[in-house]
Amino acid sequence: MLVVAALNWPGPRTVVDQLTGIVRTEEGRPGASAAGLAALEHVLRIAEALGGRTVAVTIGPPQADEMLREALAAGAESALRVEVDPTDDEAAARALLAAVAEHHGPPDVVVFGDDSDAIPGYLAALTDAAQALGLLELKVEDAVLSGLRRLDKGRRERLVIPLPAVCSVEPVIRPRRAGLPAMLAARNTKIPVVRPVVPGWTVKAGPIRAYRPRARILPIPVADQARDRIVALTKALAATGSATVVTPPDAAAAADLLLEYLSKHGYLGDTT
Amino acid sequence: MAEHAGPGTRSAVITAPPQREVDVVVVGAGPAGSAAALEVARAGHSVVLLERGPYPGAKNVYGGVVYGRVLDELVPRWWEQMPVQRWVTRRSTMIMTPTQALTVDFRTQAWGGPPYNGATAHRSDLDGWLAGLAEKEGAVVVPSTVATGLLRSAEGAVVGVRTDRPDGDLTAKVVIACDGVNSFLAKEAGMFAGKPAGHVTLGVKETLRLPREVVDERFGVTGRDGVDIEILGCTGGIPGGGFLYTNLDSVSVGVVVDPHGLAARKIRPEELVAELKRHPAVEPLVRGGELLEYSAHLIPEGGYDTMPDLVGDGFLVAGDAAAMCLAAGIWLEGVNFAIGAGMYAGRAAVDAIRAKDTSKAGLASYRRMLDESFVLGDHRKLRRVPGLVLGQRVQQDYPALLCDLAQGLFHVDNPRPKPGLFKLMRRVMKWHGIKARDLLSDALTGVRSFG
Ligand SMILES: Cc1cc2nc3c(=O)[nH]c(=O)nc-3n(C[C@H](O)[C@H](O)[C@H](O)COP(=O)(O)OP(=O)(O)OC[C@H]3O[C@@H](n4cnc5c(N)ncnc54)[C@H](O)[C@@H]3O)c2cc1C
Repeated sequence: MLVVAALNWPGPRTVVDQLTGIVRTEEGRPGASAAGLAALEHVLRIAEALGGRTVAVTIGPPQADEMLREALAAGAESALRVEVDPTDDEAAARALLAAVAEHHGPPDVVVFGDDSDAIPGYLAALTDAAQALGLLELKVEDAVLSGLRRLDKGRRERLVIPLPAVCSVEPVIRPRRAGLPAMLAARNTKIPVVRPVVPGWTVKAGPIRAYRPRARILPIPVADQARDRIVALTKALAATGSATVVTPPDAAAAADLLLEYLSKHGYLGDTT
Repeated sequence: MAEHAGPGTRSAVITAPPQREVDVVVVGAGPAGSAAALEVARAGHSVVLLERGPYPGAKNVYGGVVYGRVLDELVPRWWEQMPVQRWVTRRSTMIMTPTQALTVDFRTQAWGGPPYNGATAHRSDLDGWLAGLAEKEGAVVVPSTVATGLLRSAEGAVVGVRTDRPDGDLTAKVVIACDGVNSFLAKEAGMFAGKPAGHVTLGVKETLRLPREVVDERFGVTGRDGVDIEILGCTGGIPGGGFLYTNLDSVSVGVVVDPHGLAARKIRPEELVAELKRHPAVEPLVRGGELLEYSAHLIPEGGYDTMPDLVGDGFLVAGDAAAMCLAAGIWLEGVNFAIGAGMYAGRAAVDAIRAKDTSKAGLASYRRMLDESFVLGDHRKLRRVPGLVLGQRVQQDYPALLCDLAQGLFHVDNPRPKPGLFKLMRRVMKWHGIKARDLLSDALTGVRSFG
């Protein structure tokens, strides 16, 4: 069992001046975020409960070694710094995966802090793992990983998370404090650095445009006056149908109804 | 002892022989601590540098000017690597009343090239750099860790520190306390016994962002040249002073004031800074600056007479922890004294460890080195200055007198003929109720101190 804490190294932040609206970038405060530290604590607890090995990993510059040493002092068995300049979250997920797999094999559980953007999602997709993101709680009960997530209106959702899994957690638990001997021992530890070659985009997104249904060619209405022809074309004065309330039994049926409606009114292009 | 805040009596006594895990523990990774750790590590001894902040410099506050000359001894060609914002080539002293300002302005390009004089630098950069140097030499920097007390042998010698981490006791042959103003460790070690308490001022500072070209233009500098302005008479009658320093693309502006005066006047320190920023002589310099940071910190200003004992059995005190900050009107220097004291403390610890005598007698070379250097030399020489500079006359009467004198001199009052200087002086002294006797006595104290 390999349990990985993926810690976010804060890159430059974008700051907007409230008065002038001027946007600038500032270096982030170095060190693990509260969410990252919570992720590490969860990883240590999961590994204790399931008897796994623990790795702390980050994508970051040499200054990030400090953060990883603190993770080692807190109890992570190994650490890994990934040095790439990922162009996007998918590339970051690939880089993390490649680095961990090369040094430790495929991970069973990866826990991120909830400040990791879309990287957990991409990682889950890449590894075909279950994903449970934005968790308030993450724990092992009877050798089963479970999580608790906030829903709207104060509701909660409890998840049973099959392995392999990618999770991200909110900063609601305080990390354990490393003992002084462990801190001292970790100070001189050399952090292995991996520089994986990250393939570029695999999914290309085009520019975003409003959807325009294809024009339908209609015969010119027969009428002497231009106004009448326009009225006939637009059916402007024809009686319109009232709104239909549909009560589908489930989400799939609702989707079918919507598709049927859109296709009937020509929004899905010419399907004939 | 009782009037000093802090734990004071919490030392834990170790009955078994100490493990001596490291040769030296330095508490506090400010300039004093890093310099001490650098010296010890360089000599090949094991040293742990404890810092309560998440990284060196995270919690440190100062106005912004470093006088690096002392580094010649510690870091050859330091100016090529120190993280500098600007080199100070212009030093001004501004004496003001609410509506007037008399500035003595000095500039020299000699300070704009090696070996330089003063520089502005951000503390997180400066402290990180110094701690990094110590680390490169083998010092082990342990951040986010507070030394909560001293460990002592049954005989009372300091043999280590207790920290707030689990299993947090760390034993050492020598402990160097560089834990800044209000040093709990120095108090706990009893170093302040019999010394007057309460000699601290409160420093508050704002960092204001201004584009680099604007700073250059307003302060009349180019390239990496910078300006240091010390201000007198800007603290609304509360004993203290002010400062305005240029960074690359920001300025630091602030005041240093007596906290008792502040409390008595029921005024908040940021109001004083706001007032200073509104002063007609300052406003055009800081106008439009975007507030980046506000910070406040205590400064030991009592000088030589309020310093604690510096050497104990297994224990040394350096920097602000030993009140080694020079806060005397036209001078506000602490970092250079801290670096110097830390460096000598490190050397003394190394000498004592080599001689296998880390008792008070074995560590006595520290005091000798300080005595022979600028650290205690300057403090001894300027011991009367804090009293002089923080008194009512220097704070309020003399700024008003000097400003009115200048106004009288430069005021063209035709068709009346120009008044003579002595006549003007007598007139202005009378206006401000200043007695010739007091003026003379202060002048003498000044000459004796500064001369
Ligand atoms: C507003 C202001 C303006 C100033 N302007 C200037 C200036 O322009 N130029 C100048 O030279 N000086 C200036 N000074 C003075 C200068 O800041 C100090 O003299 C100098 O920082 C002293 O260095 P130090 O290493 O002794 O202490 P500090 O810099 O205070 O460092 C002490 C360190 O110890 C750490 N620490 C404290 N207690 C513990 C503990 N129990 N365990 C672990 N770590 C601990 C702290 O976090 C800190 O990092 C100014 C001070 C102020 C407040």
